Amino acid sequence: MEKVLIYDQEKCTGCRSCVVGCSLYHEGECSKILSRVNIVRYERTGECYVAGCDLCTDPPCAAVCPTGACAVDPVMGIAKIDPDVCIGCKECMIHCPFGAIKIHPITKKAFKCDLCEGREEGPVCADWCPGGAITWASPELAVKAKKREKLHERITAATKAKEVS
Amino acid sequence: MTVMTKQQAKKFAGMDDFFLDLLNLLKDKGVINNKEHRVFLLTGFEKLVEHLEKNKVISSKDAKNAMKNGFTSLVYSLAK
Amino acid sequence: MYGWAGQRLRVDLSKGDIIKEPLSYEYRKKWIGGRGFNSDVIYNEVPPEMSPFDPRTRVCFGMGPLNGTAAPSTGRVTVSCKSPLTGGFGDSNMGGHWGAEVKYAGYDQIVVQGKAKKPVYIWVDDDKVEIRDASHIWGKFPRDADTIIKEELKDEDIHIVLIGPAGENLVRFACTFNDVYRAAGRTGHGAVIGSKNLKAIAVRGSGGVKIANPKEFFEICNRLRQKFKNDPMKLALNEYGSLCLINYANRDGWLPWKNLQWGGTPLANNMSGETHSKTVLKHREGCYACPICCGRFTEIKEGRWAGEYFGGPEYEHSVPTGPRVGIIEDANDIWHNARLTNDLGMDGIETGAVISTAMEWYQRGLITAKDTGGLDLEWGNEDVVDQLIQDIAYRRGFGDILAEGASRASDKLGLGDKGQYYTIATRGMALPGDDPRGLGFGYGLSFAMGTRGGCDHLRSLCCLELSGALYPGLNTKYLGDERPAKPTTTVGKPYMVYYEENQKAVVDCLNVCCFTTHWSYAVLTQDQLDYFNTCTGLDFTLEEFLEVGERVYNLERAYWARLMSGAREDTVPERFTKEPMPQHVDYQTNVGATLPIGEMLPKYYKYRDYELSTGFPSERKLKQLGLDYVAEDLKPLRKKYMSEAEKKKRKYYY
Repeated sequence: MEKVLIYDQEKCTGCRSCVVGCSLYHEGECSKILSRVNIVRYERTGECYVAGCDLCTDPPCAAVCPTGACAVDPVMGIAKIDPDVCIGCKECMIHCPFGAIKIHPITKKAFKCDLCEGREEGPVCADWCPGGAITWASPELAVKAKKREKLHERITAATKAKEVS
Repeated sequence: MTVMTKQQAKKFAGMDDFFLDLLNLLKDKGVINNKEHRVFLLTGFEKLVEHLEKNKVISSKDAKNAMKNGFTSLVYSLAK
Repeated sequence: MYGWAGQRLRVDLSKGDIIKEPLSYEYRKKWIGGRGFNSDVIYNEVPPEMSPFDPRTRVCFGMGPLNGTAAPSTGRVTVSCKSPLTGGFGDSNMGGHWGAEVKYAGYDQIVVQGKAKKPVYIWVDDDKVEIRDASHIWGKFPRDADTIIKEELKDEDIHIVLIGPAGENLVRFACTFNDVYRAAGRTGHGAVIGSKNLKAIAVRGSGGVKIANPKEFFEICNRLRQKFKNDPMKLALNEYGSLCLINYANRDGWLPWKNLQWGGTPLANNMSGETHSKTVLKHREGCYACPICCGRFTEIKEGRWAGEYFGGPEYEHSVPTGPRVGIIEDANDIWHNARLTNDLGMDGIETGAVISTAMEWYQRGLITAKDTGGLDLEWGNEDVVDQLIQDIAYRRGFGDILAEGASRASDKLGLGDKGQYYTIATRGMALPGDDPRGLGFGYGLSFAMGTRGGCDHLRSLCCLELSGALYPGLNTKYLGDERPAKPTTTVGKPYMVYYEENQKAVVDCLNVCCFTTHWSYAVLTQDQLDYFNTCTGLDFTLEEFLEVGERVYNLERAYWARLMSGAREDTVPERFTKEPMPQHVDYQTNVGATLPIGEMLPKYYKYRDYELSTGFPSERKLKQLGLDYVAEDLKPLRKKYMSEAEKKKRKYYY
């Protein structure tokens, strides 16, 4: 069971630990523009969302790439961009439904998540996320766990409602 | 190294707040100099113990005990 | 340049000048950043005799080399000024994401001086800085001003520092926010900002922070973040917010009830983090790069305040307009009051303190309904508290007097020393929600000595005597003794406060969040040194690092000395020494306690190398810290402080 990045938006605290960890790990600098994962915050209403690569099985980014620079790596299970082949046309950036692809401010090539390939502990974002909004897990196990969590919530709520009445 | 008498050690052990007095005594006895006094006042007990161990004022065993049991253990090992 | 951006942004609102000043290597080594940079500017550029609302005064927003980096919790900002509340040195600290954004825009510090002719806001867009009209947002709540500015600048992702109506109305304890709800609460800089006709500072930063040794820096940050995963304070704060402290405060008798006449209430659990999380918690929130994420988002669902929502509250924010004024039965009242102080832009601590002081004056007959404009200041009267909070913000009726802060209000009402007794303040600054008869005697000592007023839980934040118990061996590591881990003992406290004050000052210079270094001790002093060195490329020793903290602390102390504040003013509210703690629940741990401040002060002076007679930093100490010019400033003042004329003056504020 290969692992994937799983996003649980309800748990996102908007702290950007993922953002700053990603940019430091890959680029040696701390910033938002050099990060492959993004956080969107609505300050007034307290909403926070993580926008990262969704590991599409049939990714639009790879489909629209004119040079083949963006292609699915079958071993990692994620589309990767080869900066040497990339011409910076930005089609992948435009077509990603999650806004997960950016143009590097210095190289001007597209860059995206590569699951921190080679890192033993897995992707930094999932490793550092304090709220559990990003996890690195097998999708089947994650779905099972989610089902149990939601079922438990429903049963507890129903029991409480019964007690009150 | 014997830096104080057993009587002095007992006095330290009974003190409410001992650190400055201990550093003052160590400076008076020439175990630490002015600069070191300043360094340990800022950086705390563990750094003092490390320094005393490194300079063989106390043994490694005494240093370990000091970190485990605190300053009473340290002052008695300085009164040996 | 690594860590630092390397420049200060100075905005002169009188002249409309935008000035960028490089910060030299020597300067950055001497002060590191954040509170260090700020204190230096205030000391040098704001004479002690200047009125806090003088257009020439400065308000400083200080960031440090670690802000915007991957070290744990790097969103913090220190805001410093000459305080309208105390008349002395004042600063405050806020979380959020604005501090990181300013670093990404390329600045370590923003200093605002002068006064605009009409309401303005500053827009910092990387290196492009503009002063823009704010007349359409003057008078608005921070949340509304935030929305309008973001629409106007067509960017939802910018970060904005804001004041509320209270700041505009020069309420002496008005505060500042960033990201709408993250407050820099204390000492009234919101009013200084308001006096400059400044409403907001909006920032967009598209750069980053360069790291000297990225691999090592990553390793340290990673190691610390792994540590946080199972850290007991992180788990409590993440789950329940700072309200996780309520039940402990109640048990150990430090939760203010009715202006600290008691240390708690049997119903304290109504507002605990546990209860909050089951009833009104909408969302958990985190500041920049934080592994703890103690932020709350509250939505009131039932009762007369149903539908209100806001970011927060914190323990310190909500307790003063809650139990301190006798409100605990309906927690929704407490959340509503916290929402109000947020929207109006006032320090929750000082607001609750001044109302509870007025309530005790009323209880004891020092004032009557004639003084209050007919308001019945009965304990727990939510209608009156709700009314008063707004009256203070808009300076209406009795609220106009209370907007001066408790010490000045007491004098305005002609209540003499007796009135001052109930202000529970030192140097004009009121106690937060932490009664030292239960919280700890180390804290009690630091309340007398704090350099941004007095009664201040954040100058030492000596949690070695609080959460220190969760870290066996930690007290021995720094202090050589586990006995100080007990809150209500004087044993080891002078050194504990000395060590923690220096340490906390450095934390404020790096500008990381003190919850990672003082509530949770997952990040030890050595860790801070390591991430500082690997980030900046410097090679500080531990003593050079901590010396910066001692330097900043002494500079602030010297500022107070220039105001003729010294040993005679190193006091705690007399309630703590004169009144033994009464019992409020049978499991309370500190019944009968008083604060033995006298046993700790003289020893503490020795650690600090303060002159015993004046309480001023000694000339020797100032020279040791490279503060020769400060020693020169204090030379003529030592004798003056000891003169008969000065001795006769009883100063509550300056």
